[in-house]
Amino acid sequence: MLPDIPSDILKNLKIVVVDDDPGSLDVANIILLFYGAEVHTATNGAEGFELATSVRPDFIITDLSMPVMDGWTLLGRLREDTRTIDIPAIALTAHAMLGDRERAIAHGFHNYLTKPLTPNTFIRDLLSLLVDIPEIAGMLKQA
Amino acid sequence: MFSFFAPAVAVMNRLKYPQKFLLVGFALVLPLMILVSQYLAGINHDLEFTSKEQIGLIYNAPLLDLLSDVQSHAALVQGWLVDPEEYEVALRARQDQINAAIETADQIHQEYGVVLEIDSAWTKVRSAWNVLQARTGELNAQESHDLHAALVNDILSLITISGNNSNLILDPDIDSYYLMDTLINKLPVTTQYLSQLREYGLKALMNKELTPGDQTRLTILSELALASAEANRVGYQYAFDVNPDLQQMLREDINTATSARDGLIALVSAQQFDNTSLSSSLYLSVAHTAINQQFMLYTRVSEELNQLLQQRLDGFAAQRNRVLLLALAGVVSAAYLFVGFYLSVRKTIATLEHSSELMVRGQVSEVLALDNRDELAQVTIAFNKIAYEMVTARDRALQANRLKDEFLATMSHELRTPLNSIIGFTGIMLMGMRGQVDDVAKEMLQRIKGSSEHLLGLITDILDIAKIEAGRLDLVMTPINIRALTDRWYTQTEVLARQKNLAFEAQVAPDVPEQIVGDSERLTQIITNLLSNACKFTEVGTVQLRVHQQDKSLIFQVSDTGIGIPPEAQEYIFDEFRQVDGSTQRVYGGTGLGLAITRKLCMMMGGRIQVRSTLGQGSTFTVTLPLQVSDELTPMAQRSLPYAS
Repeated sequence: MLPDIPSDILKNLKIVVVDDDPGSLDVANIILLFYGAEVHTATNGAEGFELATSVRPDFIITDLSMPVMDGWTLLGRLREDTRTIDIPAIALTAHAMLGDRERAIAHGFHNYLTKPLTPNTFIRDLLSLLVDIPEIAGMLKQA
Repeated sequence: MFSFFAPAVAVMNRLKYPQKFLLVGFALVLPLMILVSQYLAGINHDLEFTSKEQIGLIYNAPLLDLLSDVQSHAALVQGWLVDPEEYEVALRARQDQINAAIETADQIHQEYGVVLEIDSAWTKVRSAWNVLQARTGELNAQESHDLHAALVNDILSLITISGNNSNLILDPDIDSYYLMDTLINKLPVTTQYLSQLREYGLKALMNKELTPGDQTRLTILSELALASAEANRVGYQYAFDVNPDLQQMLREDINTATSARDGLIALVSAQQFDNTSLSSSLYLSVAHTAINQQFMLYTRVSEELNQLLQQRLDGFAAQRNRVLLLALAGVVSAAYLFVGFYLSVRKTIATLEHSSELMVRGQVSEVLALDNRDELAQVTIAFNKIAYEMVTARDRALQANRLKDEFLATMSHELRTPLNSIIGFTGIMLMGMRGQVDDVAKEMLQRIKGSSEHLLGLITDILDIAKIEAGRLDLVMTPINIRALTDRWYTQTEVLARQKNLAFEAQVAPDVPEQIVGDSERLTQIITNLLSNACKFTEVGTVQLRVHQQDKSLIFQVSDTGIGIPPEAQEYIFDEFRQVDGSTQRVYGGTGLGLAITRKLCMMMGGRIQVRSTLGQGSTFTVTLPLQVSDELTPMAQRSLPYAS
């Protein structure tokens, strides 16, 4: 438990997480739930897009390389649809895929998070990204 | 056999193609040229020789006119001495003719006298005539005859000299030789015999008295004229035997001259002559005709001889032109073929060179098609074989490389995925996010987390190394704010320093530009690796990062007060899997690849990394990178960093 981060900091947020690896998906799910978020998970881009249109989350975290539909395509679909056009998307990248990070931002992802996800780094990195988004920053429960 | 040609091979090996051609060309052309020039010199000599013969003919032509006039003058003087009134006019006219002939001959002499090396003989003729002309009125018949005979002899000897000096006497062909012989030696003499017949005959007829001396003289002269005519006939026959055409051309002239001569001789031996009842003017006219016919024959023979000489000259000139043309055609066609040969070789070599350059640059062309059928075609075939082998080998290597890359990517993904889960879940349990765990379990979870992270680091580093070595790692150059980046590095590493209570400082010198161009992720990888190493190997003291600019280079210095690196180890700590010693990894962890990757990244950026260290006192790693200043953000850079602010 991280003493400087209140466990309900994500309480008002609805998040969709998309990843084809059930392990990573569960880890993200558990951590985000722990901090009070409402989490919806999908295992590929197509499912993720369905969820995004039905749930209308505050933001989306998505892996990039996935079967059926990858993260790049998912982003494109989100940006083409009026219902999802405003939803910020954060990319999940593996450390080895360094070039992906710049590419992700160039393509229109808000930012990126690096695997592996650990409670410590994941929540810190996520929060530091979220404060850049004015609509979401206001919804964070400050300690 | 080969050893016999070895010197030639050695020479040829050292020469370029144009030089080879020149050498072979010289070896062929030089002797050829010498032969041709010698041959041409021979022909030219023949040409000059024959031309000089023609000059002899030209020189003699006015002399013959002069001879005819002088002979005629001799007869007229005899007539004049007996009957001045009858012959006065004719004599004066003849003298004028002689003076005109002298004038003409003198002009020719001016032109050719030097060539024919005649001078004193001509002068002698001229002065002899002047004396004769001046004294004509005061001479008696005998004196006149003697002086005329002397002048005629001078003219005859002049004709002979010019014949000798103009090579006519040396003429090499049988037909022309005998024609020459007639012109130089026989016909003039014949005319002189006939002319003396005329002179003595006229004197006798006009005096109406044939002295026994005159009779004897006339008989002898007739015999001499006939003998000379016979000699002429034999000479003509020799010429006609080898050149029957000449007989056709000259037959009538010879017949005319012969019958005219025979007419005169018949007249001299006739009864009317013996009793001097013959009309002197009739006799003179017959004699004139006989002598003129000889001179006309002379003219005709001279024409024919000139014709023969001209034919010979034309033949020589044609021969010379043929040789010149042939030599020129040979040289020109050889040069043309040589140039063609050279261009063909050069084209082939240029094509091969071009293809090999393409091959070196990796663009292996289609099969090289050249229309050579020579030895170079074999080179082309060999070249194509090599190209084919290279293409095959390259394709195989590319295929293998692609498979390796795919294998590495798959491996790293497959290994990373479960590790990510292990690390994530261990973290969740350690955090107590799903219920508290006791201290023993926590300790073990820590061990699991540490090992997993180590394993993940290894996989990542190995993949990085593989990518760098395969040249698959591209630098992403963007404008960087080095101060903001330093803040990020500071934040990332501060945690490590704080855990060990180390002082941590980061400074960027004021002279470092606001914006530079670089690959921020790779730079981050370099600096954070050095910083985390510094923290790792330092127990007490300070870790420092200093950034400054020097001589168009950006210099990053990471120094610590840690355990330091022994001098011998400073040489190999940048090699893969090399740490200071085997125990280092047990105590400090790490994959042993960090510094290797760091150095490779520095080199990729065109920079270098150096270490200075004292054992037990600390180390300083210095990264020197070429400084690229960015004056303003390019549109592209702005797109790639939408939130950089």
